[in-house]
Amino acid sequence: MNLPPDGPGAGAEVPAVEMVLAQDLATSDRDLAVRVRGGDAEAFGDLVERYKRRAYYAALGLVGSHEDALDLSQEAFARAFRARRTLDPERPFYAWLYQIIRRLCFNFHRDRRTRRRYMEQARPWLVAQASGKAERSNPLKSVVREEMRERVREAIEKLPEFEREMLVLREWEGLKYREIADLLGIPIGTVMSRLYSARRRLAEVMEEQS
Amino acid sequence: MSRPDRENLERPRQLMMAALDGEISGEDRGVLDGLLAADAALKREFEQLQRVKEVTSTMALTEPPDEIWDDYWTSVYNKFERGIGWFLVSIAAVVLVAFGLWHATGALLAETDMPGFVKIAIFALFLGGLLLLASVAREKLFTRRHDPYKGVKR
Repeated sequence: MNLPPDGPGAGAEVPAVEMVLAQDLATSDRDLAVRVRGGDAEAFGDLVERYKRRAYYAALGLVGSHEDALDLSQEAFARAFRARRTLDPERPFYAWLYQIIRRLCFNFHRDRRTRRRYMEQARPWLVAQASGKAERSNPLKSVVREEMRERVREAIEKLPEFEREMLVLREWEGLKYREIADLLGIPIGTVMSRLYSARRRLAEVMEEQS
Repeated sequence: MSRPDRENLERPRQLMMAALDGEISGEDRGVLDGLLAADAALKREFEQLQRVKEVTSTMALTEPPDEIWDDYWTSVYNKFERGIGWFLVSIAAVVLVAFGLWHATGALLAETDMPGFVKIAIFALFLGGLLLLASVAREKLFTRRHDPYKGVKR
């Protein structure tokens, strides 16, 4: 572990432990990537541990079913290890992995057979968060809200892949526009335009409902 | 639509998105407020988009059962191992089948008692199989990858 010259805890103004952890994490990703390039499976296992949840949720947002998200995210890691020689340790590991995940998920969608299976077996992949006080005290409002959410969820599943991806990254992964743009290698303007198109479609569905 | 027209449309849309997601600067907020005050249709659209944001904000991705994380790495490793296994098996199968076909065809054609039309049929079968294989491989490896219309839904 790389400790600062004075060790953790020195300097009251800087949260030293957080700083060390952040440095360690950043350094480790690069170090692990270097070892992975050399074929070190244990180092790759560490990267899997670090990013498995993120990879799973990214796939879930793109394919909408738990089983497929699990399978595709694991397949993405397996392919990543197979393609380890193309891994650049100087670039963020997750951005590289995400490209593999999205390619797999988009191919999955294009396969009409798997798409049909997905449509038939998909369980709700988006759920309502704990309802607010106002909703709990007004059951009718709560029912209307739930119906609206159901319609919106269906509409999200029908969105074009690129728009749906944008919505997932922004709304449920909580990424900033800059982070999304970096992850996908596209301009921020494109991120906003795709988000607009996605929300516009959802707005039309909500208008019909209301 | 000309480029300036497109940009005129894009700008308010991008400002609305930035406002909804809390990524708008003070200066841009002023610009957006001005646009909304001047255009009733845009204001109505912004309100619709705000309602969408309200609904999507109350949704979350489903949490998977905790147990899936325990065997996650093992499954990844198994997939990797099996991938290599399947690759080797496929290569070996192709080589062995090709070798077998080559010898079988050679032996059949060398058969002196066999009628000529059967020999021609065997040769045609062998050649046709090779052509089909090459055609499918070309489509998989090249044509499909470069098809500009592959993303178009029917």
